[in-house]
Amino acid sequence: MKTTITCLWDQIPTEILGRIMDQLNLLDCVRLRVVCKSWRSLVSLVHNQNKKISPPWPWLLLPHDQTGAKYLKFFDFSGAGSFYDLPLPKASSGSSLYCCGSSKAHNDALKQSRDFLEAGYCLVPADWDLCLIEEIADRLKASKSGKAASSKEKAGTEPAAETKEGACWG
Amino acid sequence: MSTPSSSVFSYRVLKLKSSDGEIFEVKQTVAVQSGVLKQMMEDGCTEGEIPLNNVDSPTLAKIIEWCNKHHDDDVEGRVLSQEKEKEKEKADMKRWESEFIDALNRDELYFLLIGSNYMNIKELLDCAAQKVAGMVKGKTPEAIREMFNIQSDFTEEEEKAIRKENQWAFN
Repeated sequence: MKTTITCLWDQIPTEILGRIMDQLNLLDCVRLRVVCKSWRSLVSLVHNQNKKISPPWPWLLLPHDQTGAKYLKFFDFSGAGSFYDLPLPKASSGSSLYCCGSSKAHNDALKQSRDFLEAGYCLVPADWDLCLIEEIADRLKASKSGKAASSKEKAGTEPAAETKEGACWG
Repeated sequence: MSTPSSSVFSYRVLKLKSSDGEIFEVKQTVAVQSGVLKQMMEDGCTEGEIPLNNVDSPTLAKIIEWCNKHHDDDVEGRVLSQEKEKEKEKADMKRWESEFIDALNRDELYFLLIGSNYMNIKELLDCAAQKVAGMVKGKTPEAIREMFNIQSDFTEEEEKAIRKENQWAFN
């Protein structure tokens, strides 16, 4: 029996892409997601499987204007030592912002922030998206107890302008 | 690559059949680097030809070349008295590995990734994956597409939206 194997880089098996991604930093993985649709879903899949896409070093959160900031500025120690502006979600652009810092593991950041923040955001690397900490906490609770998150509706509401918000790099 | 069969264990050979039907004879001591073949040897099912449907003959030849270079059945017989000598061997091996990988074109590299993953040869897979990682590091999505001959299947709007969403990674 003769089998023909075709060279299709866009169909590369997930476990191989995972090995490649192990050697790349977060930025390179984000760029891989823009190459084509299948790589976009593969990168997310690999990330969900091994949770390994995180910066090798935490990014340093730089001082910023706390009122009306639209971006958070980070400095990346690794590689070229670049600066990155991370846009904040629309809801928080106009309101006052409190940043609790940056962290490699968003779970740690979550624990720290919950103690002193009324409402906060946490950056979820899988979606490159800011999520309400309350929502993440509910999700964690729900996944532990096996029950559905009780305050899904609450999580969807926009925070009040007066609320101090935290943004953490996860 | 092929060694005449003998009663000595270390010279027993496996017959590997590539996807295009070519037979390769490989010493058991060499083949043991493949997790899949090692398991088969332990289970005692390596009689006759072993079909490798995901590996074509040029790729299998490359894989066997790698395994022959890395198999260490004669290492114990050699006396490496000097630490320096060991270091030199390591450095020589590293150089050989990068020359081996660098000599491959994009298609060959792809087939090697698929083959080493299929045969579960961890060191080779890691080496090839590292090569690809080095190729994409710091490259724009356009450059990566061109490098691997991938067509973008995003619509113009989709691509715009994705870029906007990840703008910070493209500055």
